[in-house]
Amino acid sequence: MSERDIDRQLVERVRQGDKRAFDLLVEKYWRRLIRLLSRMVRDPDDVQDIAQETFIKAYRALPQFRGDAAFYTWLYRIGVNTAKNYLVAKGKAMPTLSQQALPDEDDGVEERLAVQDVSTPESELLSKQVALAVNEAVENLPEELRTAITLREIEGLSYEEIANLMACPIGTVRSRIFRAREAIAAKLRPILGTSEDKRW
Amino acid sequence: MTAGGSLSRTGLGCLLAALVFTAPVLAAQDDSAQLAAGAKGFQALPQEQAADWLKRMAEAPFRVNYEGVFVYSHGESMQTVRVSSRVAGGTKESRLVSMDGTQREIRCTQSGSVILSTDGGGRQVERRFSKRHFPDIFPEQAAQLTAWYTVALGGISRVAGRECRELALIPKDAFRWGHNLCIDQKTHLPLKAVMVNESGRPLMEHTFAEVQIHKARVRAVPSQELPHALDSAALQVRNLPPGFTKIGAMKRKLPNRSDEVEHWVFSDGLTHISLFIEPAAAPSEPVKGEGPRGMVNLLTRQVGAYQVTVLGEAPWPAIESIGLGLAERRP
Amino acid sequence: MQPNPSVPLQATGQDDDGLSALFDGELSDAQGAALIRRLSEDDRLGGRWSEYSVIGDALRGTAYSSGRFRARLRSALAQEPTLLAPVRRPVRSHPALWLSAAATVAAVTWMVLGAAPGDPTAVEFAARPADVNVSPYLAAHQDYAQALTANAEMRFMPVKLAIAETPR
Repeated sequence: MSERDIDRQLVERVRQGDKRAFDLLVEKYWRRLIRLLSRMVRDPDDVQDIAQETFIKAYRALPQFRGDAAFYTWLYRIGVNTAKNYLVAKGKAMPTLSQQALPDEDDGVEERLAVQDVSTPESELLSKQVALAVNEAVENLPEELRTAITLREIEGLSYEEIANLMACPIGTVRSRIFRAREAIAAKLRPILGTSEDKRW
Repeated sequence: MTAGGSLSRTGLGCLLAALVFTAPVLAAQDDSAQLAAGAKGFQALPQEQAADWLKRMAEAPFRVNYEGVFVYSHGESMQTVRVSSRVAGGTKESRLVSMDGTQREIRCTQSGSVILSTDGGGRQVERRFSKRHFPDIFPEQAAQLTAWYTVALGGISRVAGRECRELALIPKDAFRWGHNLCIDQKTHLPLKAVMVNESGRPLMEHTFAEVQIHKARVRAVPSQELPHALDSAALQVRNLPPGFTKIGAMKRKLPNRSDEVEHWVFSDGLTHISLFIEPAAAPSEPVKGEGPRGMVNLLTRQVGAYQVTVLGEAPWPAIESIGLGLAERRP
Repeated sequence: MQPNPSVPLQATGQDDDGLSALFDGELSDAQGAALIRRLSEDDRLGGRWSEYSVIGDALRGTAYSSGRFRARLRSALAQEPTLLAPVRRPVRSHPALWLSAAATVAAVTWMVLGAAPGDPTAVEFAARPADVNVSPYLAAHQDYAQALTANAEMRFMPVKLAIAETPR
């Protein structure tokens, strides 16, 4: 059950004219998109331009999105196409990429820090700190919370699938994932300099 | 430190391998209500406690003033409604306004309810026969529901920013749908109500998106539900599913039709089934109808000189058993 | 966003796991709609949504980037016209009833099939499509029952009832 319509409700809201719902979708997927694009395109500035154009295109094309694929799959396809066209227009070469390539989130390879807005030692340090804080926080979670959040975010399983694996009710899965997130977020906030009340 | 997941891949692999052959815990279609309740993480309540919960939920709308917005969904259809309810002078008054474009408002008082609609131009006022609406979904004698439903208590959840207790009404037979609810911890007002079928699949749902609830100073008293008698009943109803009684009967016009029909309503307190009786237009064979997700079921057939239509948000066996048990009353 | 160690750590906020479930696409339609409404208005919920995104990305090894890309995109999206996709009618030709009474009615064709008398195997297709409205009955029923609206779309089929069909 991998291609669930996770974001259908948000997509529906955007189609009814709620731009802020699109903002939520952007917020959810923009780093993943940039990571994907940066595997295809070397120049970080190009990556940012392509990512921006991808989101704009996706927004405009939403009325035609039939919901026969998951939103993020559709978004990434737009991203790949946009990247190809962009590079062709700029006369740049592109590394060979399978047409069917879909984002593979968990190849387990340590990624070089892909894209920074400005690649400074400070921003690279911040990125490392975030990664460290999140992973430490997860290590310190009680086992059932750690398992739940891992199965969800890394294995991409649904609550029902996780409930079957962990032999517990779906409501418990939901609660565990929530509590895991809250515990991790608490460790993150001092690093990012945010309080709970601020909108990002 | 790798920037990947902290659960090592071998560790996860072992976990998955160990658990994939475990028998699934979520038993979906077991007859025993106890097992069904337990499997979902719910505890079935003994009769006394169940009756107590039902009583508190039924009284809640009469003890508080509330105002909020709820979302109703059934299949792909969704409606957003603003609701406000006030307890004053010992009675309860409420108002519902559609927020989806249709200019429609219902006002409910103890004596009945009225629909006000502004459809392009004039204002129309129509009487409506029921004054009940979400979250006021329980009958006055709610404790009697324990005869037909097992009441099971779940955990604490949150709806519209308020803490609420999960509670399931599990049917004891195949004549009614189940209900999964979330009840406000402080006031026992239902904040979420999901009608579910025998597999736990949602059929229709009411959920508050936002709500403010304040205890009223004086509680209201629900008005007596007067027994309805129909004088010249053309037909006898000889068979009702267990727990169902006739709660209403009237001669009325159907919307957009000029002829009068008899409309009877049966209920077990939560489930409602209507029976319509009218002269048969032409001989016909019995026809069964089923709505999306199988929530609404319908039967229409001829009984003597009459065309009878039975329909409601109930499983087919309930509809069928009423429809089968009809006979012309001998003069 | 630059780190600012002087910002004090706030106490954890509401214990609302609905947002987390919505992020994972695990809320029912009605609950999802209800929460998305709140999300549009509550900045604090929006902040938590962002946090969940950072957490998931970090677990998958995606590098953290700060806000300049977002700011650029946000202003670009602000220029875009608001989408007005045609509202998908849940029921093609049967509008949802709301508190019935003056609901517009839609005709539904009933196919009526009958068996030839005395021949249990043969089914005579005495197809008499009569345009009968089920909407008025449903509307009248909802006058009395709890449901505020219901889809008037129904599937119909003949049914054999276990009773003698001889008229009294």
